[in-house]
Amino acid sequence: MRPMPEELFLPLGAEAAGAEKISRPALSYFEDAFLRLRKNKLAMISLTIIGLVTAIGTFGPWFFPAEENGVPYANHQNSNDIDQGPSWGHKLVVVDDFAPVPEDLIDQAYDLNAPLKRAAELTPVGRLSVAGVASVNGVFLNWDIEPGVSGYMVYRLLVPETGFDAKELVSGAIERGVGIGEINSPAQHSYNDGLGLDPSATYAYSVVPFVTDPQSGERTYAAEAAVVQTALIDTIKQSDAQSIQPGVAVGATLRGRAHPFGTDGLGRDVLARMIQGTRVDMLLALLVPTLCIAIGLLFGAFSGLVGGKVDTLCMRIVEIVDNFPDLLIFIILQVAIGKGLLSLVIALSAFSWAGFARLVRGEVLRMRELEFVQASRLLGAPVSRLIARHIGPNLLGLIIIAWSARIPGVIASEAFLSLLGLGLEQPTPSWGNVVFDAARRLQVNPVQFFLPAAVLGITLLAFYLLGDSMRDAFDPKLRGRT
Amino acid sequence: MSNVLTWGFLRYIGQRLAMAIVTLWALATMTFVFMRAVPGDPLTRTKEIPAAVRANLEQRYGLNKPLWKQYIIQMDRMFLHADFGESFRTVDRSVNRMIIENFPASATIGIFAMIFGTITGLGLGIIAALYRNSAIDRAAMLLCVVGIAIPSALIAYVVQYFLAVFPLVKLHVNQDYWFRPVGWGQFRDVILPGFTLSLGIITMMTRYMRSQMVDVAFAEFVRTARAKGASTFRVITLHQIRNAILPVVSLLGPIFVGAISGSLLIENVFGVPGLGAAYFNSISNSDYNVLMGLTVFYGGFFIVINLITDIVYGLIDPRIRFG
Amino acid sequence: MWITNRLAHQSALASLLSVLLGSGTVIAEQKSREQRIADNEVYFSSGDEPPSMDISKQVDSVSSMWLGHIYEGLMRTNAAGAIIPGTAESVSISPDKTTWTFKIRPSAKWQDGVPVKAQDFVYSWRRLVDPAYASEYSFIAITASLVNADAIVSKKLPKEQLGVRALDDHTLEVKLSRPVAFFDSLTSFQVFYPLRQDIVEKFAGSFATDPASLIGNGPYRLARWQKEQSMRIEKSDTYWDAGNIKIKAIESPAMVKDGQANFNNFRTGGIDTTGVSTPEIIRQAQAAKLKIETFQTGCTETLAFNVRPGRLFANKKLRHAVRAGLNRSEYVNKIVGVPGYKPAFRMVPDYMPGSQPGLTYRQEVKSPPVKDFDVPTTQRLVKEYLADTKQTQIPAFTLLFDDSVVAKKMAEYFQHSLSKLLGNEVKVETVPFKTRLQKSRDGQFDMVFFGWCPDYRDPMTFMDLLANNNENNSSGWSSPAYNKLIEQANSEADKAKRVQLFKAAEDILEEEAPVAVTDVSGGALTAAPELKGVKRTIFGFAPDFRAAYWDHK
Repeated sequence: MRPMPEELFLPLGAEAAGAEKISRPALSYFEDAFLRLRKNKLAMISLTIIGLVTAIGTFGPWFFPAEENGVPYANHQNSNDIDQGPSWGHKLVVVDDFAPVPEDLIDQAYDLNAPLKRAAELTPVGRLSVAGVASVNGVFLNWDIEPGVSGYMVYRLLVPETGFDAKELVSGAIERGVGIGEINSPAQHSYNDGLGLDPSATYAYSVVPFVTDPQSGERTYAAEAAVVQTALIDTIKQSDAQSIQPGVAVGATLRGRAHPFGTDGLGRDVLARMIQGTRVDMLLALLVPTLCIAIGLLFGAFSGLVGGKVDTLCMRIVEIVDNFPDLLIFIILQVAIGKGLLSLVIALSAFSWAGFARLVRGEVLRMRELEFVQASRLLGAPVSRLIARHIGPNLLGLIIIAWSARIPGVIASEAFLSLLGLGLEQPTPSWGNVVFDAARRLQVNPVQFFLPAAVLGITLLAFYLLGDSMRDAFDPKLRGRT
Repeated sequence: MSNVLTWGFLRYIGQRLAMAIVTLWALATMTFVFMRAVPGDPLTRTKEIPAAVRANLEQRYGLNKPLWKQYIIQMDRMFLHADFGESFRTVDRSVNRMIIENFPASATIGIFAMIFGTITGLGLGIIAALYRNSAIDRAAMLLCVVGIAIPSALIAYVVQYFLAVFPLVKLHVNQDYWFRPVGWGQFRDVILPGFTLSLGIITMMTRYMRSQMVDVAFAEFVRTARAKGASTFRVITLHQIRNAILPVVSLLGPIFVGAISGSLLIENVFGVPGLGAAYFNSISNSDYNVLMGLTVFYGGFFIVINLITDIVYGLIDPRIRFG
Repeated sequence: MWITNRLAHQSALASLLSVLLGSGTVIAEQKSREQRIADNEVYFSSGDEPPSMDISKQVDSVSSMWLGHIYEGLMRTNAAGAIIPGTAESVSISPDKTTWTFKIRPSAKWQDGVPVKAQDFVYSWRRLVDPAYASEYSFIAITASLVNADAIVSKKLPKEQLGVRALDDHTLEVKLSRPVAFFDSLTSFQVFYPLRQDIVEKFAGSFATDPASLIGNGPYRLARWQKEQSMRIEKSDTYWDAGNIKIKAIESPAMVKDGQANFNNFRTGGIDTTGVSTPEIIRQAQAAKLKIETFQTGCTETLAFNVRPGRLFANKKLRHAVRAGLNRSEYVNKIVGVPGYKPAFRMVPDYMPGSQPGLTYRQEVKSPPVKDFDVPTTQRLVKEYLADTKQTQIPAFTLLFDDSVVAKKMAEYFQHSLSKLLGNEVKVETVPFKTRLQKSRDGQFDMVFFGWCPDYRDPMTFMDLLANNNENNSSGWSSPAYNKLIEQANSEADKAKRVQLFKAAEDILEEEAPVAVTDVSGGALTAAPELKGVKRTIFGFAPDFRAAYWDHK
């Protein structure tokens, strides 16, 4: 064993100056909270998502194609591109904007009082054909006049990709599809179909003449139909094409715009509407919960702290506010100050703070009885100090949770209100009205619904996670435990 | 428990009930004022009713009387005779009948949603808190977000489509799928609308329960219990959950009233014969009596439930005394 | 809660039990489609709850549909929409067309076996106009020009003075104050059905609220009515024409308004027929290769201009410019997107009958075709307007619309397309339904979307809309020449002359353009392949199952 030197065992002695020295920088409550928040990976991811969404919402519209006579891209309608699924752009044929709608072929010389055929004599119409170019703007069918009938019925069948047997359609062995046109005059021997055509589809048209019994009004149809089949070409109006490729002529082909989220019932780009809508929703998401909580906090804390008769009165007011039919308020606000962001903010916050007030009051009542508050009070602390030092900080977690919990509700309420027509002025897009609009296509094209819904969901998840992490960060009891 | 049946307690209940009537009256008065401020009246139609006919109708419904008289008549009828009057739209059905006949359906899905949502929410919240920051916690969160992110009316379509029209899981009753997209009268019909309605409740419950559980987990009494050598199970059930559940109880009242007051869109999609549509129509049709009747009915319900919540809260929290 | 005491008394136990048991009310097991075909029953969704089943109280499409099956008027509409005798076996009309004498069928019976008498009609019609009863629809008696109806409604005469009396048990005499060419079609209308005084008085306040208190004279009787939930009617053997009624029971197992929900219910076999009411549902139905039938609902839809002085559209050229440039084909096909809708250019739709059998009004007056989407004309008129008023651009104007989901889409379409057509700013104001009505009546708009549905089978139902005494003429347009023509048509007994008067009036509209007609409404439905003969007609109720049958192949 090596001998130990004696000096190692000498007492150090007291150094008065060093005893109270804090070797690390002092952290205020908030600094500590932010430090811990920064360490939380999920919170940072959430914050990034929220930041990203806000940035896209704020700056995204700058990158939209140029506005056209005052109509921003998000509101630009394209009647040649209605209700389409997500796409990166189709090959399109440019057509004239003001192409005349083909006029019906009506034989004015035909004698409308001509004797009617008997039901058994009815035969299919002759020379059924498609004139011109078939596109979503119209499929112009024409055929030879069938003398002695009362009119024609035009059916349209969506031809399945697997094909079908045209003979079955002639004989009516399979359903002829949508009865799109009913022509009550034998003299009209044409029909222009444009009803909700899908540019990628092939259609089979059947024309069936019928006679109407003048007495009973009963109709008899011909047993067999004339059938014609046509595929559509994908088109774009010249004015829309100009913004993609300036100076493009009618008849040229070009690649259309990408619609990653598809288009809506008026041919507007859904992604552009989502981006444009972000501004409104972010504003509402920040403003409305803050307002609600400010009112609820003041009211609840006042009620809980003062107690007694005032408390009872306050709680009755909360009950009234909670039960008041809020739709009534929305309608009156719309009538009084018109549609728009202001009335939406007032409508969403004015009557939805009651629940929060009740929650705060309960907490305050509970905390008032807690030992440290009692002790502080015994030591003679004024109410203001009780609030600032004891009750306030302890309410912080609740406030943050309630604030972040309120955000999805605000966005959902906005959506519900725009569904009822009480939302923003038209055609201002918001997430609510975009997603609600997309919901109607759920059963037609689920992707079109789930894409915007996913954006909405992820953003709200980010708010939720951030709220949770903030609450944990602001709770000093949880320090070092997460 | 011994503190419950005292004179102080009974007096407290009495006071609260007396207060309830004053509150209801104030609610009714406010509703009356706002209702009349909306343009148009119950007799505004797409095709204008001729003046003579309109005069007869106004006389029949008392709409020709001065506004203050109408107010007094309505208040008198409601508060002194428990009669909410007749509907302007469904002319043969009084508002009382409407409530009797259609409230049960709204209440049924509400109660189902409440029970299912509370149990699921509490369970999820507890598990999420016990396994903080684990995959389970995140999964629970994700579910919550789905519950709130997408308005329940949209969820209704998704639920109907994926569970009843083209079910992902095919359960059969005879030849039909087990869930019907639309229908009412059998227990299975309660599940889809009830489930849709419960999503919001699950979300709220999970969040609050999780946050309360986390709070309680670091409380002194929990540490003491552990130090005394109580089993983990005992600590969780007897100490943590029992204490964490307290503040959550105060949420139940408003949630319950929210759940049973009928959701227009959910009832509409699943064909539930509830009061949701009546409530909505009453506003868009300016159906004064229905709107007033339902507001006061739900308001009364709300106040009673709140009272019960307060009493229950007092029973399970020994720190609160009535007096 | 003492407020709810009374409610509680009546149903505390029942509702508590039903709540706990998880069902509103106990109902019979629903049948599968195979069973329904075997039992000759049809399930469908009637949409809303019928607001009332009292024939004189409430007229709306749902109540009318049920009541149309439970009752039968003097005349009825057949499957094709033509008027044929119903409870009356014949009718004789005086030469001046003001006295109509109906002979009631001796075989016509109420559902409790009591014969239908002429007095039952007298009672019902007097009840309709009784000011003490205050039916909202008493104005239909005034429209029909029943003698003294006007004076009775305004309390100047007792209800016994109404121009209808029973000459004997089976003869009903109706006196009109002017020749009403379409009176026979009116008698098939709901409010002119008969009523039994003894039943109405026996049940008083609860009349027509359940199967016991509702006894009709039609082919079906009410079997079950659960409020907001379900309704069922079953074939009545007492009906005089029961032999021709094939379907034994018609049921709405749920009262669901939502089109998509109803379509889903149809796809899973819950109901046998449903409306295909949105472009989205049509796409689904098309992809599933379902049978889709179209029908007309016959309402003329218009953009009405506010022509009051000082308003933008007081300028006739601008009205013409808008009317010429509307792309009705695009609007109807791509935006409305529901089959059955048709572009239209004039107030009176193409189905309105003319004076001769077999020819419609439109065919008879030989209106020249109108060019749709006539942009060159619009451009010329706009140029002229700008030159006349020395402006460089048309000022911004406001479109007034309802705030329903459908109306919102239309509003955004018109906003965009009109702005593109006229090159100016177009604002949209969407307001709740009743606010829209109030605003359009008060003239607080520039252009309002406005639909008008026919009340009876005569061009007059559309033409008198723009006459000066009509409260519904929101455009504020008025023309003495037009009013005079309408007045003449009102008292003209000769059908051919009336048609000419209408044509002259229509020419004034053509010249003045107070409204721009866009389309005439319609709809589509799908049904189980085996279900045949379900009818939807413009006049009369829809759907009509009286001629329906299951095709047992």
